[in-house]
Amino acid sequence: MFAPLFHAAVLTIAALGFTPRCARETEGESDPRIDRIAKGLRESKYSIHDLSRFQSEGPDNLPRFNMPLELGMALSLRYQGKSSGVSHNWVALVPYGFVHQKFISDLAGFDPPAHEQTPASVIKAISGWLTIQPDYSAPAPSPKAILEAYPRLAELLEEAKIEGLGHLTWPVIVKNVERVVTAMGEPAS
Amino acid sequence: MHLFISHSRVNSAAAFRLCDELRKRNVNTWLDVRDLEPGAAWDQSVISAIQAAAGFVFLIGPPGPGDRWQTFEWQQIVDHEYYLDPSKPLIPVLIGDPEMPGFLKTRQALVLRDTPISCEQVAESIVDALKNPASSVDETKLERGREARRRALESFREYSLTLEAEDIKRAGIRAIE
Repeated sequence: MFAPLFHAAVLTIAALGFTPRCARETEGESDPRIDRIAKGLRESKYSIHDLSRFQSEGPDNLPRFNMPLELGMALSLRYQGKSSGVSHNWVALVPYGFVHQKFISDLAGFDPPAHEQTPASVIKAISGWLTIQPDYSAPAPSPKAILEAYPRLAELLEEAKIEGLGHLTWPVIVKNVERVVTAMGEPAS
Repeated sequence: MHLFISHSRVNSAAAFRLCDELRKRNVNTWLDVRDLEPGAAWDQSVISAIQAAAGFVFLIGPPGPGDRWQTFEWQQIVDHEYYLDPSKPLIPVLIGDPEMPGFLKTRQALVLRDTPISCEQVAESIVDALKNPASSVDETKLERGREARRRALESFREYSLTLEAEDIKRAGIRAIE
Protein backbone atom coordinates (compact mmCIF):
# COMPACT_ATOMS: atom_id res chain seq x y z
CA MET A 1 0.00 0.00 0.00
CA PHE A 2 2.80 2.42 0.85
CA ALA A 3 4.81 2.01 -2.38
CA PRO A 4 2.25 3.67 -4.74
CA LEU A 5 2.11 6.73 -2.46
CA PHE A 6 5.89 6.93 -2.34
CA HIS A 7 6.12 6.63 -6.13
CA ALA A 8 3.44 9.33 -6.55
CA ALA A 9 5.46 11.59 -4.23
CA VAL A 10 8.70 11.04 -6.17
CA LEU A 11 6.93 11.71 -9.47
CA THR A 12 5.39 14.95 -8.17
CA ILE A 13 8.69 16.25 -6.82
CA ALA A 14 10.50 15.55 -10.11
CA ALA A 15 7.64 16.85 -12.29
CA LEU A 16 7.74 20.16 -10.42
CA GLY A 17 11.44 20.61 -11.19
CA PHE A 18 13.00 19.42 -7.92
CA THR A 19 15.36 16.47 -7.47
CA PRO A 20 13.92 13.80 -5.19
CA ARG A 21 16.39 12.33 -2.69
CA CYS A 22 15.77 9.71 -0.03
CA ALA A 23 17.57 7.37 2.34
CA ARG A 24 17.18 4.55 -0.18
CA GLU A 25 19.65 6.38 -2.43
CA THR A 26 22.54 5.02 -0.34
CA GLU A 27 21.10 1.54 0.30
CA GLY A 28 23.90 -0.94 0.62
CA GLU A 29 26.47 1.54 1.92
CA SER A 30 28.21 0.75 5.19
CA ASP A 31 27.36 4.03 7.02
CA PRO A 32 24.55 3.79 9.58
CA ARG A 33 21.18 4.64 8.07
CA ILE A 34 20.68 7.61 10.41
CA ASP A 35 23.97 9.16 9.23
CA ARG A 36 22.87 8.75 5.62
CA ILE A 37 19.54 10.38 6.37
CA ALA A 38 21.24 13.27 8.18
CA LYS A 39 23.55 13.77 5.19
CA GLY A 40 20.63 13.70 2.73
CA LEU A 41 18.71 16.24 4.80
CA ARG A 42 21.73 18.55 5.08
CA GLU A 43 22.15 18.44 1.32
CA SER A 44 18.47 19.25 0.68
CA LYS A 45 16.78 22.61 0.91
CA TYR A 46 13.36 21.03 1.42
CA SER A 47 12.11 17.85 3.05
CA ILE A 48 8.77 16.05 3.04
CA HIS A 49 7.78 13.80 5.94
CA ASP A 50 4.77 11.53 5.65
CA LEU A 51 3.29 11.01 9.10
CA SER A 52 0.22 9.19 7.82
CA ARG A 53 1.47 5.75 8.93
CA PHE A 54 0.85 6.35 12.59
CA GLN A 55 -1.15 3.21 13.25
CA SER A 56 0.31 0.02 14.65
CA GLU A 57 1.17 -2.56 12.06
CA GLY A 58 2.90 -5.91 11.58
CA PRO A 59 2.80 -9.02 13.77
CA ASP A 60 4.03 -7.05 16.81
CA ASN A 61 1.39 -4.36 16.32
CA LEU A 62 3.85 -1.47 16.55
CA PRO A 63 3.72 2.01 14.97
CA ARG A 64 6.64 3.26 12.88
CA PHE A 65 8.75 5.99 14.47
CA ASN A 66 11.22 6.62 11.66
CA MET A 67 9.22 9.42 10.06
CA PRO A 68 8.73 11.49 13.24
CA LEU A 69 12.42 11.01 14.05
CA GLU A 70 13.41 12.28 10.58
CA LEU A 71 11.00 15.19 10.93
CA GLY A 72 12.75 16.09 14.20
CA MET A 73 16.08 16.12 12.36
CA ALA A 74 14.63 18.40 9.67
CA LEU A 75 13.23 20.73 12.32
CA SER A 76 16.63 21.01 13.95
CA LEU A 77 18.12 21.94 10.56
CA ARG A 78 15.43 24.56 10.12
CA TYR A 79 16.11 26.13 13.51
CA GLN A 80 19.90 25.92 13.16
CA GLY A 81 19.55 27.45 9.72
CA LYS A 82 17.97 30.57 11.16
CA SER A 83 21.27 31.38 12.88
CA SER A 84 23.66 29.89 10.31
CA GLY A 85 21.92 31.34 7.24
CA VAL A 86 21.48 27.90 5.61
CA SER A 87 17.82 27.48 4.86
CA HIS A 88 15.83 24.28 5.20
CA ASN A 89 12.08 24.07 4.93
CA TRP A 90 10.01 21.03 5.74
CA VAL A 91 6.46 19.81 5.49
CA ALA A 92 4.71 16.97 7.29
CA LEU A 93 1.92 15.16 5.49
CA VAL A 94 -0.78 13.95 7.84
CA PRO A 95 -3.90 11.81 7.52
CA TYR A 96 -7.23 13.46 6.85
CA GLY A 97 -9.45 14.36 9.75
CA PHE A 98 -7.11 16.25 12.12
CA VAL A 99 -6.18 12.98 13.86
CA HIS A 100 -2.55 14.17 13.92
CA GLN A 101 -3.58 16.63 16.59
CA LYS A 102 -3.89 13.61 18.88
CA PHE A 103 -0.65 11.80 18.09
CA ILE A 104 1.66 14.75 17.31
CA SER A 105 0.07 17.76 18.94
CA ASP A 106 3.38 19.69 18.81
CA LEU A 107 2.59 20.43 15.16
CA ALA A 108 -0.31 22.63 16.22
CA GLY A 109 -0.15 25.88 14.29
CA PHE A 110 1.54 24.45 11.20
CA ASP A 111 -1.59 23.36 9.26
CA PRO A 112 0.18 20.37 7.69
CA PRO A 113 -1.35 19.21 4.40
CA ALA A 114 -3.45 16.07 4.67
CA HIS A 115 -3.83 13.14 2.30
CA GLU A 116 -6.14 10.17 2.25
CA GLN A 117 -3.60 7.46 1.37
CA THR A 118 -4.20 7.70 -2.37
CA PRO A 119 -1.73 8.75 -5.08
CA ALA A 120 -4.13 11.53 -6.14
CA SER A 121 -4.26 13.09 -2.68
CA VAL A 122 -0.48 12.74 -2.19
CA ILE A 123 0.14 14.47 -5.55
CA LYS A 124 -2.21 17.28 -4.58
CA ALA A 125 -0.72 17.74 -1.10
CA ILE A 126 2.89 17.81 -2.30
CA SER A 127 2.13 20.01 -5.34
CA GLY A 128 0.33 22.48 -3.11
CA TRP A 129 3.31 22.81 -0.80
CA LEU A 130 6.12 22.83 -3.37
CA THR A 131 4.34 25.33 -5.62
CA ILE A 132 4.42 28.01 -2.94
CA GLN A 133 8.14 27.55 -2.23
CA PRO A 134 10.44 30.25 -3.67
CA ASP A 135 12.43 27.70 -5.70
CA TYR A 136 9.43 26.48 -7.67
CA SER A 137 9.60 27.68 -11.26
CA ALA A 138 6.55 28.06 -13.42
CA PRO A 139 5.59 26.73 -15.88
CA ALA A 140 5.31 23.25 -14.47
CA PRO A 141 2.69 20.52 -14.87
CA SER A 142 -0.53 20.88 -12.89
CA PRO A 143 -1.44 18.30 -10.23
CA LYS A 144 -4.00 16.97 -12.73
CA ALA A 145 -1.31 16.45 -15.39
CA ILE A 146 0.90 14.67 -12.84
CA LEU A 147 -1.99 12.43 -11.82
CA GLU A 148 -2.63 11.61 -15.47
CA ALA A 149 1.02 10.60 -15.86
CA TYR A 150 1.03 8.47 -12.72
CA PRO A 151 -0.53 5.27 -14.20
CA ARG A 152 2.27 5.13 -16.79
CA LEU A 153 4.85 5.27 -13.98
CA ALA A 154 2.99 2.55 -12.05
CA GLU A 155 3.05 0.41 -15.19
CA LEU A 156 6.78 0.95 -15.78
CA LEU A 157 7.61 0.22 -12.15
CA GLU A 158 5.52 -2.94 -12.21
CA GLU A 159 7.50 -4.18 -15.22
CA ALA A 160 10.78 -3.18 -13.53
CA LYS A 161 9.76 -5.01 -10.37
CA ILE A 162 9.19 -8.20 -12.32
CA GLU A 163 12.59 -7.77 -13.95
CA GLY A 164 14.14 -7.14 -10.53
CA LEU A 165 12.61 -10.34 -9.15
CA GLY A 166 10.22 -8.45 -6.91
CA HIS A 167 12.65 -5.74 -5.85
CA LEU A 168 12.70 -2.08 -6.92
CA THR A 169 15.89 -0.17 -6.22
CA TRP A 170 16.03 3.61 -5.90
CA PRO A 171 18.02 4.02 -9.17
CA VAL A 172 15.33 2.06 -11.02
CA ILE A 173 12.54 4.19 -9.53
CA VAL A 174 14.39 7.41 -10.43
CA LYS A 175 15.16 6.23 -13.96
CA ASN A 176 11.49 5.48 -14.64
CA VAL A 177 10.31 8.71 -13.02
CA GLU A 178 12.74 10.56 -15.28
CA ARG A 179 11.26 8.79 -18.34
CA VAL A 180 7.72 9.74 -17.36
CA VAL A 181 8.58 13.36 -16.52
CA THR A 182 10.43 13.77 -19.83
CA ALA A 183 7.42 12.34 -21.69
CA MET A 184 5.14 14.89 -19.99
CA GLY A 185 6.72 17.58 -22.16
CA GLU A 186 6.71 21.30 -21.59
CA PRO A 187 3.67 22.83 -19.91
CA ALA A 188 2.18 25.93 -21.52
CA SER A 189 1.67 28.15 -18.48
CA MET B 1 -17.50 39.65 -7.75
CA HIS B 2 -14.60 40.88 -5.69
CA LEU B 3 -10.82 41.08 -5.61
CA PHE B 4 -9.39 38.84 -2.88
CA ILE B 5 -6.68 40.56 -0.82
CA SER B 6 -4.20 38.11 0.68
CA HIS B 7 -2.02 39.68 3.35
CA SER B 8 -0.10 38.73 6.47
CA ARG B 9 -1.12 40.35 9.74
CA VAL B 10 1.92 42.66 9.72
CA ASN B 11 0.51 44.24 6.54
CA SER B 12 -3.03 44.82 7.81
CA ALA B 13 -2.67 48.62 7.78
CA ALA B 14 -1.31 48.58 4.21
CA ALA B 15 -4.12 46.20 3.16
CA PHE B 16 -6.78 48.56 4.53
CA ARG B 17 -5.17 51.56 2.79
CA LEU B 18 -5.04 49.70 -0.51
CA CYS B 19 -8.65 48.57 -0.18
CA ASP B 20 -9.69 52.21 0.39
CA GLU B 21 -7.86 53.28 -2.75
CA LEU B 22 -9.44 50.46 -4.74
CA ARG B 23 -12.90 51.31 -3.44
CA LYS B 24 -12.43 54.88 -4.72
CA ARG B 25 -11.89 53.25 -8.12
CA ASN B 26 -15.05 51.12 -7.82
CA VAL B 27 -13.24 47.85 -7.14
CA ASN B 28 -14.83 45.58 -4.53
CA THR B 29 -12.35 43.85 -2.30
CA TRP B 30 -12.52 40.99 0.20
CA LEU B 31 -10.31 41.29 3.26
CA ASP B 32 -10.68 38.65 5.98
CA VAL B 33 -10.16 40.98 8.94
CA ARG B 34 -12.91 43.24 7.63
CA ASP B 35 -15.32 40.92 5.82
CA LEU B 36 -15.49 37.82 8.00
CA GLU B 37 -18.93 37.45 9.47
CA PRO B 38 -19.03 37.13 13.26
CA GLY B 39 -18.99 33.48 14.31
CA ALA B 40 -18.10 32.21 10.83
CA ALA B 41 -15.33 29.62 10.49
CA TRP B 42 -12.29 31.49 9.17
CA ASP B 43 -11.02 28.75 6.85
CA GLN B 44 -14.40 28.02 5.24
CA SER B 45 -15.11 31.73 4.74
CA VAL B 46 -11.69 32.22 3.12
CA ILE B 47 -12.23 29.26 0.78
CA SER B 48 -15.66 30.62 -0.28
CA ALA B 49 -14.20 34.10 -0.82
CA ILE B 50 -11.38 32.65 -2.93
CA GLN B 51 -13.80 30.65 -5.06
CA ALA B 52 -15.94 33.72 -5.67
CA ALA B 53 -13.00 36.03 -6.45
CA ALA B 54 -12.46 37.59 -9.86
CA GLY B 55 -8.78 38.09 -9.07
CA PHE B 56 -6.20 38.11 -6.32
CA VAL B 57 -3.84 40.67 -4.84
CA PHE B 58 -1.01 39.33 -2.66
CA LEU B 59 0.67 41.70 -0.24
CA ILE B 60 4.07 40.05 0.23
CA GLY B 61 6.72 41.09 2.72
CA PRO B 62 8.62 42.20 4.60
CA PRO B 63 11.29 39.50 4.16
CA GLY B 64 10.95 36.49 6.42
CA PRO B 65 8.37 33.78 6.78
CA GLY B 66 4.82 34.93 6.16
CA ASP B 67 2.13 34.04 8.64
CA ARG B 68 0.21 30.75 8.59
CA TRP B 69 -3.05 32.43 7.57
CA GLN B 70 -1.54 33.86 4.44
CA THR B 71 0.14 30.53 3.69
CA PHE B 72 -3.28 28.88 4.01
CA GLU B 73 -4.71 31.35 1.47
CA TRP B 74 -1.86 30.67 -0.99
CA GLN B 75 -2.39 26.95 -0.55
CA GLN B 76 -6.08 27.30 -1.40
CA ILE B 77 -5.37 29.40 -4.49
CA VAL B 78 -2.81 26.82 -5.63
CA ASP B 79 -5.17 23.91 -4.85
CA HIS B 80 -7.82 25.50 -7.06
CA GLU B 81 -5.16 25.88 -9.79
CA TYR B 82 -5.97 29.57 -10.37
CA TYR B 83 -2.23 30.23 -10.76
CA LEU B 84 -2.29 28.15 -13.95
CA ASP B 85 -4.93 30.35 -15.56
CA PRO B 86 -3.35 33.33 -17.36
CA SER B 87 -6.76 34.97 -17.67
CA LYS B 88 -7.06 35.16 -13.88
CA PRO B 89 -5.34 38.26 -12.52
CA LEU B 90 -2.89 37.30 -9.78
CA ILE B 91 -1.10 40.46 -8.69
CA PRO B 92 1.84 40.34 -6.28
CA VAL B 93 2.42 43.59 -4.39
CA LEU B 94 5.84 43.65 -2.77
CA ILE B 95 6.55 45.42 0.49
CA GLY B 96 10.30 45.66 1.12
CA ASP B 97 12.37 43.11 -0.73
CA PRO B 98 10.76 39.75 0.04
CA GLU B 99 11.21 36.40 -1.66
CA MET B 100 8.26 35.64 -3.94
CA PRO B 101 6.42 32.36 -3.61
CA GLY B 102 7.17 30.24 -6.69
CA PHE B 103 3.65 30.22 -8.13
CA LEU B 104 3.68 34.04 -8.45
CA LYS B 105 7.10 34.36 -10.03
CA THR B 106 5.74 34.67 -13.58
CA ARG B 107 3.36 37.47 -12.63
CA GLN B 108 4.09 41.19 -12.92
CA ALA B 109 4.87 42.43 -9.43
CA LEU B 110 4.03 45.89 -8.13
CA VAL B 111 6.00 47.61 -5.38
CA LEU B 112 4.20 49.31 -2.51
CA ARG B 113 6.10 51.92 -0.53
CA ASP B 114 4.95 53.55 2.65
CA THR B 115 3.58 56.69 0.99
CA PRO B 116 0.05 57.68 -0.03
CA ILE B 117 1.17 58.31 -3.62
CA SER B 118 2.65 54.82 -3.89
CA CYS B 119 -0.62 53.32 -2.65
CA GLU B 120 -2.56 55.30 -5.28
CA GLN B 121 -0.18 54.18 -8.03
CA VAL B 122 -0.47 50.53 -6.99
CA ALA B 123 -4.27 50.81 -6.95
CA GLU B 124 -4.19 52.32 -10.48
CA SER B 125 -1.96 49.50 -11.72
CA ILE B 126 -4.30 46.92 -10.18
CA VAL B 127 -7.26 48.50 -11.97
CA ASP B 128 -5.30 48.30 -15.25
CA ALA B 129 -4.45 44.64 -14.61
CA LEU B 130 -8.11 43.85 -13.96
CA LYS B 131 -9.05 45.40 -17.31
CA ASN B 132 -6.42 43.32 -19.07
CA PRO B 133 -5.78 40.16 -16.99
CA ALA B 134 -3.23 38.71 -19.43
CA SER B 135 -0.99 41.69 -18.68
CA SER B 136 -0.42 40.29 -15.18
CA VAL B 137 1.75 37.55 -16.74
CA ASP B 138 5.38 38.54 -17.26
CA GLU B 139 6.49 36.84 -20.50
CA THR B 140 10.20 37.36 -19.76
CA LYS B 141 9.87 35.63 -16.40
CA LEU B 142 7.79 32.88 -18.00
CA GLU B 143 10.60 32.22 -20.48
CA ARG B 144 13.11 32.27 -17.61
CA GLY B 145 10.91 29.70 -15.85
CA ARG B 146 10.91 27.47 -18.93
CA GLU B 147 14.70 27.65 -19.02
CA ALA B 148 14.90 26.82 -15.30
CA ARG B 149 12.65 23.81 -15.92
CA ARG B 150 14.86 22.55 -18.75
CA ARG B 151 17.92 22.87 -16.48
CA ALA B 152 16.11 21.09 -13.64
CA LEU B 153 15.20 18.18 -15.92
CA GLU B 154 18.76 17.98 -17.18
CA SER B 155 20.10 17.90 -13.64
CA PHE B 156 17.57 15.19 -12.72
CA ARG B 157 18.71 13.14 -15.72
CA GLU B 158 22.34 13.48 -14.56
CA TYR B 159 21.33 12.41 -11.05
CA SER B 160 19.61 9.35 -12.49
CA LEU B 161 22.69 8.42 -14.53
CA THR B 162 24.97 8.86 -11.49
CA LEU B 163 22.72 6.59 -9.42
CA GLU B 164 22.75 3.98 -12.16
CA ALA B 165 26.56 4.08 -12.40
CA GLU B 166 26.92 3.78 -8.61
CA ASP B 167 24.46 0.89 -8.59
CA ILE B 168 26.50 -0.97 -11.19
CA LYS B 169 29.67 -0.30 -9.19
CA ARG B 170 28.06 -1.63 -5.99
CA ALA B 171 26.78 -4.73 -7.78
CA GLY B 172 30.34 -5.34 -9.02
CA ILE B 173 31.75 -5.04 -5.49
CA ARG B 174 29.07 -7.42 -4.17
CA ALA B 175 29.94 -9.92 -6.92
CA ILE B 176 33.65 -9.77 -6.04
CA GLU B 177 32.86 -10.20 -2.33
